[in-house]
Amino acid sequence: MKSYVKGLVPLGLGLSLALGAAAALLSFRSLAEQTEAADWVTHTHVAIEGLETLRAEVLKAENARRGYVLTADASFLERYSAARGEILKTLGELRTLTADNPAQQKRLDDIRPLIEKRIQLLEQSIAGFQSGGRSAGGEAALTFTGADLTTQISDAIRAMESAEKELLRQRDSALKQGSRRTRTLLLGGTLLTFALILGVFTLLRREIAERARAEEDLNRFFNVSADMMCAAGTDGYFKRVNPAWEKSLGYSVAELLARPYVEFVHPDDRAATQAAAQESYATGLPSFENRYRTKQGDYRWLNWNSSPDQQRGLIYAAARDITERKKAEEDLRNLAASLEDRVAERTSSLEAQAKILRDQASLLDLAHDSIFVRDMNSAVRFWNRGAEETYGWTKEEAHGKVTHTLLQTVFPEPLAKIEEALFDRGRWEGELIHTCRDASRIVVASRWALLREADGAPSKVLEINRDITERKRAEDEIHRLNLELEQRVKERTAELLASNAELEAFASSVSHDLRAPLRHVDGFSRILVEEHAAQLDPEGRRLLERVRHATQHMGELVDDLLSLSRVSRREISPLVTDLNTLAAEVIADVQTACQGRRVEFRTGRLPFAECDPGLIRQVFANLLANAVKFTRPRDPAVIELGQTERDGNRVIFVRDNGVGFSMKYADKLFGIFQRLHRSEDFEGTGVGLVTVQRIVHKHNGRIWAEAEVDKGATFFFTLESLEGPGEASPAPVTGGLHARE
Amino acid sequence: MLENNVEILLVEDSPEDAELTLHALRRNNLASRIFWARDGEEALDFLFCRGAHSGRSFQHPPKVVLLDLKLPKVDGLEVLRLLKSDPRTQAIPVVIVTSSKEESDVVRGYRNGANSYVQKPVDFDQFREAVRQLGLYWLVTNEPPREAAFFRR
Repeated sequence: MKSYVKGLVPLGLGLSLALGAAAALLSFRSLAEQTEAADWVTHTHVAIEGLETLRAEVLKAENARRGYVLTADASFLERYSAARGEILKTLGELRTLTADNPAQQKRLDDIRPLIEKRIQLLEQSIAGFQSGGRSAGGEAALTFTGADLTTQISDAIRAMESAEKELLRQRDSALKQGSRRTRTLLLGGTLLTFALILGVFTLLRREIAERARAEEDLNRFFNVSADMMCAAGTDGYFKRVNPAWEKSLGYSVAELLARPYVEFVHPDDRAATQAAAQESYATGLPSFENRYRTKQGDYRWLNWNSSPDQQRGLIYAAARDITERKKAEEDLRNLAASLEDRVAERTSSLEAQAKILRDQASLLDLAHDSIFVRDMNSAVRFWNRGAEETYGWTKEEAHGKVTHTLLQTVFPEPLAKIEEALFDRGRWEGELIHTCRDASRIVVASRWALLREADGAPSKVLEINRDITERKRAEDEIHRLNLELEQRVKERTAELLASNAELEAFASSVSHDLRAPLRHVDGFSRILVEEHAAQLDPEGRRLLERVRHATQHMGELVDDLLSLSRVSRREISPLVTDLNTLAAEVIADVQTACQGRRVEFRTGRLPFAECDPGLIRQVFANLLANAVKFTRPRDPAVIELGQTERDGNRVIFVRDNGVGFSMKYADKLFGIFQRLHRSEDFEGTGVGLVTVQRIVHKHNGRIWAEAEVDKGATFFFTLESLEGPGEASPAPVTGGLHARE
Repeated sequence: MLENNVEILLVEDSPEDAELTLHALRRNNLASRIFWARDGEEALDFLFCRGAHSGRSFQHPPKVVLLDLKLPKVDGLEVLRLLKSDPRTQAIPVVIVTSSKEESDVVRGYRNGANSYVQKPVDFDQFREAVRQLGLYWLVTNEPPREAAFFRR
């Protein structure tokens, strides 16, 4: 459309110009023709006028002769002369006027001799008058000839006049016709030209409106562009800038246009900017960067694209603020620089590490263990001297070999399983059987560690093997011995179980078989004393008493042994038991053994314990009986029973102020039949404390004693159910003085 | 002493124990009608009126049997078991008098129908006292079963 319009405008213009020219030319020619026609009409009129004048002057000349002849007045002669001059002059004029018309020229040629003849007649008349000699007759002849001539002349003139009039009529009609044609031509051409001009004008207007819109568009772009746009002159001034400048740099448009633009440029960039401007103007510059100062005084990096207009002496340029990008680039450069520094640093540290590693690798060579590193295809990558010594292959020989093949590894479980564990936990340990170069087979304790790359991908396996063939042999031996031992223990246990059963049977029979004879000895000696005393002397009675004493001691021994045996065999039946009650009952019992003595029992508060009450009762009974026994020399005897705490555990204790014992023999305290006192001083079987210990052990407790000779003794025991701290033991409560005088 | 008039059957293999027991009973005037069986077999013969004792009648049982456990031939528990499993003899009171205080013996004794269990004390005084009390209780204090108790059902 546009190109169509654009084509139409010059075409229309050309057409209208051509038409106008054609119309003008036609009109001009038409006018010229008309003028010529009008000239001819005028010419004809002049010719007609000349003819009229000729006739009139001929008449004037006749009249002047008449007047002179009649009056002889000389003035008529003057008039005649004037008319004659006029006649000749008009004749000449007519000759010129009708030069283009041969018919008229011929007629004029006919008229001329007539007129000349007439004039001759006239002058003969005049000349005759003047000589006086004139005769009437002569005169009359002359007049008649004259009148005839005059008629001939008038007729000739009239013929010429009618010819001229005919010409005039013709020429007038031609003139009118030409004038009509000219009018038509002028009107048509003008109308057509008008129409064409109107069309062109419309097209042009449309074109102009479009151009205005385009310019408006460009202006908008110019105004809204975030990029700074400008037109700069060769004189170094901005000619036009868009609003983006003000937004970006803070200067108003007027400020920007008022100073050479180079003044806004960073001093360091000015030379380059001017060079760039020149280059841009001369050859065009695709891209250029410089710094502009903002109104606030900081600098922004701008990236320029320009296009010169050499005709107008302008550079059109657009600048983009790339400060942020520059800054990012700068940051990147800095980052890159710092990265490079770090890389250098890291490289040197890595080199240092590599040195350490090399040192360590040479240290690894000193290790007795065989150490090697293999890649994920099990190919050897490192092989220390230990490995060389153990397996017999040098580093060079081993390098690149697949270890499991080289060493004919025998695994304790499928390799896949081992590798699974290795990947799962990063390590594996186990025993392997390897075959050395000399075909000997060794057992190694093998430790594998998986090395991973930074990204976690497994890269290598470190394998450290210690030759444990000898140890293994020893272990096997130990294992064999252990098995043997176990077997023997089993056998022994069975034997012991059997002998235990035997012992039970034995204990049972002891109770029958030893008691009975004792009872018999006692019984019969009693009967002897009671019923046959009269027959015995005092020595006999004393000996009998010794017999009875011995039997009683043996009875106690048997009872104690049986008790111990029962305790040993008995399974404990634990119940939650109030130890206070138990202790009170036992104290009540042992008091009967204190007859005639002053014995003070002090009982602290005891805990509840989960225990076999029958057995614990026996513990209290034995310990308190001991306390009573060994305080016999004391008056009053003081026996304490209470609870304390040792090593964070609750401990029951029985303390007396008796004769005590030396801690030297403390280890014998709980040995069977072991006694620390002479039986003359303190009777006893050496079984009671063994029984107590057995019971405490059955409750997973401990028992021990602290004593000093002549300073009393304290027995402590714990029970499993009393482990852990209890409430603080209160001060012992004085149980009162139990004295039976 | 007629067999049918026996008030105490003492089953005891030890002659010493037997003598001491008899001595103790005698001192308390309780030993008039005692039969002493020296082993289990003899005790069973006596109780079941057979062998040497076939002349005895079930209708005249002893008022109490003092039974030791450790006996030659047939032991005390077996004697007890047989005695208590026969309707003709099961009503006879049996007191186990033994040296053993083993729990298993006590339990088995009672399970087999013993009426009482007494351990012989080592101390003679205590022994004598125990025998005296036993004699008094079973011969005097205790009401013995009626004759009807000794027939087969």
